Amino acid sequence: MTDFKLPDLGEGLPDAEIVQWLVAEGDRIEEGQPMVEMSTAKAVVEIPSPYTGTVVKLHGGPGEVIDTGAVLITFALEGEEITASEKAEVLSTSDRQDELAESAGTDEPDLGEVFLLPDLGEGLPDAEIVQWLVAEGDAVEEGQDMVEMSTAKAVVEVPAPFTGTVSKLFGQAGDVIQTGKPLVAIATGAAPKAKTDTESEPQGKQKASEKAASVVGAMEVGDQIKAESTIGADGIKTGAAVRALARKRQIDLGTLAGTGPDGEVTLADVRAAPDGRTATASEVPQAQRQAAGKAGTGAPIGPAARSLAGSLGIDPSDIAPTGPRGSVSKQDVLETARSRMSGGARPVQSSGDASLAAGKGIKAAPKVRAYARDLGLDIRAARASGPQGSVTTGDVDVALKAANEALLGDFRAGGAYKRPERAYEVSGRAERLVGPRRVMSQAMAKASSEVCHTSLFDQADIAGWAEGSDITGRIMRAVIAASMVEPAINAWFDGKSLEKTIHQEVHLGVAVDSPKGLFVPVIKNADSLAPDDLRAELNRLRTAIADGSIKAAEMSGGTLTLSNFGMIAGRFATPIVMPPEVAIIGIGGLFNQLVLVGEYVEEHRHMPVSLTFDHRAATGGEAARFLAAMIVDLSLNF
Amino acid sequence: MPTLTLIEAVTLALDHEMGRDKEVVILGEDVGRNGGVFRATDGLQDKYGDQRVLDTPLAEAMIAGLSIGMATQGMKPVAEIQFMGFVFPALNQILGAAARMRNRTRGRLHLPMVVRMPYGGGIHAPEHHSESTEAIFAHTPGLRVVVPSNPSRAYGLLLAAIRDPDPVIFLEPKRIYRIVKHEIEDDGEAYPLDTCFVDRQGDDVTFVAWGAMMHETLLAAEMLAKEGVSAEVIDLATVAPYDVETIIESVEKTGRCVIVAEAVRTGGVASDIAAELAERCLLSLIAPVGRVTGYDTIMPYAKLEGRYLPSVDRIADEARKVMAFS
Repeated sequence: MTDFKLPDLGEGLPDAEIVQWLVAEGDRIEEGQPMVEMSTAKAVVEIPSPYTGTVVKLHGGPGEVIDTGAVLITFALEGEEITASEKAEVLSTSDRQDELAESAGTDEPDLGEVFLLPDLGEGLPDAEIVQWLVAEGDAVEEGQDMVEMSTAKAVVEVPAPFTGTVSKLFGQAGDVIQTGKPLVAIATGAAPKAKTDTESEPQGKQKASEKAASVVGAMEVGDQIKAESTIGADGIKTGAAVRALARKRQIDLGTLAGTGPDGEVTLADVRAAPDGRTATASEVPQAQRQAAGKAGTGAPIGPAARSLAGSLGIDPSDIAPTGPRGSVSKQDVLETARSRMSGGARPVQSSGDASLAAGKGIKAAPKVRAYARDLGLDIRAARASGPQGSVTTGDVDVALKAANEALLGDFRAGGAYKRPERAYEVSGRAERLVGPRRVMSQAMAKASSEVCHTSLFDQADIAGWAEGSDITGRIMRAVIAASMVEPAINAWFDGKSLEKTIHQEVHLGVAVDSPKGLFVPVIKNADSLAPDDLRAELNRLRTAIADGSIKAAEMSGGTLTLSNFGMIAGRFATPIVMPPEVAIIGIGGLFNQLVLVGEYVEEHRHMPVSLTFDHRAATGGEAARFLAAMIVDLSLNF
Repeated sequence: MPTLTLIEAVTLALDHEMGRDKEVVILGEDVGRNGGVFRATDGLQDKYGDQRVLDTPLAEAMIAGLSIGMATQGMKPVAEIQFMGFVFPALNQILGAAARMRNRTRGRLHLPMVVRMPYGGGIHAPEHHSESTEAIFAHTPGLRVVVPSNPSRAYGLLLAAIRDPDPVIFLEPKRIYRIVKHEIEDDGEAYPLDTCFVDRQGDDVTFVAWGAMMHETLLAAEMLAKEGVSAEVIDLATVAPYDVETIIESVEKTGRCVIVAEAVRTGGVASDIAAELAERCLLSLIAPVGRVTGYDTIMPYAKLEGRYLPSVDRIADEARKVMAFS
């Protein structure tokens, strides 16, 4: 009999799930015949039979997860005789790995100590070898990490349980080892000791687990011994918990005689002492404590007031506090500033947005003052944000903008707003769609339900275009160019037969908006027309739509569609792909954007490009390449 | 005195309290025969029997509900949830019943129960094994949320949690389960709850952290000391109700505060502390209150978790930022 083990299904995945068996036990099977559908995280894969013969045993049912490398199916090869007892044995063995591991563990007597995979503290049945950190023949020290094992929950480094020489590794990276089965053999120089399956020997298992008991997860393990108790700045030896308890019970530790080693004050010492012998810091009123705190030697002061005092060059400790909790308020700061002004100067305003201080008191560099004067702005209107509370040119700009806004507001308030008239008559009643609108409605719904729409957005820098370039002409040129660089998008796809036709010609559909509805005339063989002819053909079709002379044949057979909605409005869009076509290109409204060119910022015109494609028929890579080719073509300045 | 890791200190406290008080029972998934996912209850079933160390089915709602029932009858259940990420099925019991029982019965019933959970990231585990959702519990009146930051505190605070007459959520920062050892005497002395622990005295900036973050924060304080910045480091320890007085007192002294938390940034305990400081400490603040936290995303997998968790550098950088204000 022959076992077939689940191969790596090309995903590097550790396991796969049985979706359904395509054969049954006892079936005859031909080499290459599909025997099972397996599901990985990414795909359902049919596995063909590697042999011709008879199916003896299926190792698992639908829904069961099979580890890569585990036995999936047992065959009797063609012509192979199987005894009833052999067959019975196979059918009764639920897990061949057990047997293999067991035989590995017991049949080799000269390996020295066989170390069994301990329960890695997770109560899990097995673990996977991630990588060996030692090789056969290596000398290992007790405690040295030998192997990284992955459980479902963590990666665990397993240290060597004894010092010796690695004589055998019972598996390679990716192999799953069951708890209690041999992992590694180490020759210790002592008499070899055969170990048997410890599942039946709880004592043995306990021992094995103890040897590796300090490893769960990739947990940092240290031998450093730290002390909980230290001698504090007060010279008292004790721990933080004792200090906390003393604080809580308002006990001065200095009054206690420590009964611990070296006179250490213990928790028991603090518990034995009566509560609240002396007042501690927590009884001192908060304001008093604050006064002694870092925030300043004077009265407490909030951040905003402190910042204001700093910008006015006033030491907060010089300010008389009138605020809550004895604090210095912003008003206090301003009062102090005002009282320091020489007589006759304008008083300091409160920090409203108009002015902060008299023009004379305002800090500003001469060039900033000149700048404000040139703009006709009273520098007192600017709010200082510069160093030491000085006014910067930026502040002047902000103040000027605010002044202009105020003017504009007046103007708007004074002007007469006029609402637009309704552009055309509407009936206000439900009306059945007819003609192109009806066709559009049905076709869109059908396409939308069928196509797997996916969209990509990008933009082309068209700053280099010559004055008066034909925008639509350039767009059509770019579509044709992109169809050469990545033909897969210029295609038809039949969702029923799963047939894809990549076209040699580009028949370019161009969405045209008209009062009657949406029309998509097709420029046949657009790729073989000269630019002027292309433009002429588009104009002819547009005229035909306008005068109603367009023929149905002129609106079918397109291989790619272009929608230039940006002529009206919109930047990016996800228009519907109309089968059998595979993609539609949307061009948004042009816009200007600041672009970093070397070390300079320049204003460049950009064209937004949207590509929506049917992901049933084209890959993201194909779509992105197509879009990239369009962007390159559009960005050319010739 | 034995030198113990944080996880061994947890075991020692459980052992001590089970020996001292017959009402203490342990329950949870794999806590008995297996000894617990992280070995917290190793050997306790052998010692106290399967009537006092119960292996439960894989059903967190049941573990919490059973604990509530036991506690109403005067027992002192100590439940283990394997990872904090698995507590969600039990939230209806914990938030909806355990937290409210005293209030609902007007004090007639109270629940001396503890729910222990390994929490936090940094052990290369999947995301729902790595997150820090202490704010969910801290935001629920009626629950005490306690997070030890070293082995001594694990021992002392767990004893206090078990002895507390009301429900305590005891969050064990699993990343530091084995990172350092403390000499711990098994004297049964409980640490005080509802109080911060000041682990380092300083004058320039106050750090507030808890759990595993205390490790990085103390290292950051050492790094800053070499730059001449004197940092005070406060271990919040009881995350709810937290001891704001100690923090305020410290910030009044230093004028600056940086809060370090592993949890997501928005709506967390760090934000709450910052809000308290804004309300009560404004006049003492020299700089804005800084926060160094995880990000408002699902905890990432192993490769990125080092970037997610506040690092010594990120903590020190935030302190340098607030030190720029004077």
